[in-house]
Amino acid sequence: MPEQPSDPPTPLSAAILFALAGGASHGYAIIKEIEALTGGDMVPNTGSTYLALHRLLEDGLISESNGPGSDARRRYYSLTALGRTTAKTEALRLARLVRAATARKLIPRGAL
Amino acid sequence: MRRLAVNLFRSSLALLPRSFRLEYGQEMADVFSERIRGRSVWSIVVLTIGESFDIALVSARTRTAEYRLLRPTFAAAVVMAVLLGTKGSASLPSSPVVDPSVRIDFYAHDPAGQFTLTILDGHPIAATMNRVPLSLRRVVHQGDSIRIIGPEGNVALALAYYRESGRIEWTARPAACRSASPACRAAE
Repeated sequence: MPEQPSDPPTPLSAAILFALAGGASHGYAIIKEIEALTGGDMVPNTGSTYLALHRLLEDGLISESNGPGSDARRRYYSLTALGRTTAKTEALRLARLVRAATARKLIPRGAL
Repeated sequence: MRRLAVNLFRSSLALLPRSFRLEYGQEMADVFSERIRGRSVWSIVVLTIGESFDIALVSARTRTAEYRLLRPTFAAAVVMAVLLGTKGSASLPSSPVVDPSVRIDFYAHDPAGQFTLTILDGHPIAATMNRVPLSLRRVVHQGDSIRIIGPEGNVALALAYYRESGRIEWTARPAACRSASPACRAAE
């Protein structure tokens, strides 16, 4: 059983984990994927994205991997088993929060 | 305009700590270059200013983290070991200047690669494997045992650290462990 970090990831780190849940990706594609996933609400800056990637690498949540293309200039990142577990845990945590917010009528009907 | 923006962004990267810049600087410049492709001049100006401020913030955050780690002033012992066999050990050098109970920087090689471990007051405070810094969440310290957890939750490296004698022992990892395969487990 992989070791589980105790603290939830930051919003940007969580977004990167969710973006990588679809498969290995490189820095620019990760930023574009986060923009798409959040409907443009989150447009991460390049520096912040790479600091988050660096910390996720340190924490063993992502690793460098071979990408689908043959572009040697790009470095690809993918989720580790621990990263996938963390992404699932974070997704459940957020889903519970959204459910609670919906029950308290904080989210207008049809807003999601 | 595009070239000027990329040059400005590259200049702002000088704010970052050298190790971070060497690791990610080129990649970040490539990503920035892609982000401004096809944008209007005004949009490039806004993005360049925003990205440069962000680099300054990232620099402050990384340097603050480094400062927290380095703030204590202490004597340090440096131990280097190279191991090609199956069992390794290293002892602290005896020196009237160095107090091995305070800080130890341990550098070692075995067939699977390089690793480092920094111990402060008997507790690991930093570690790297094959030049990649590891989160302390992956360094488990219990009694005389220090274990480094691999990305798949396996024990990638196990060391015995005897604080009183200043002795460190570990079982050399075979060359097959270079790939950090989860099947390649250190002796626990």
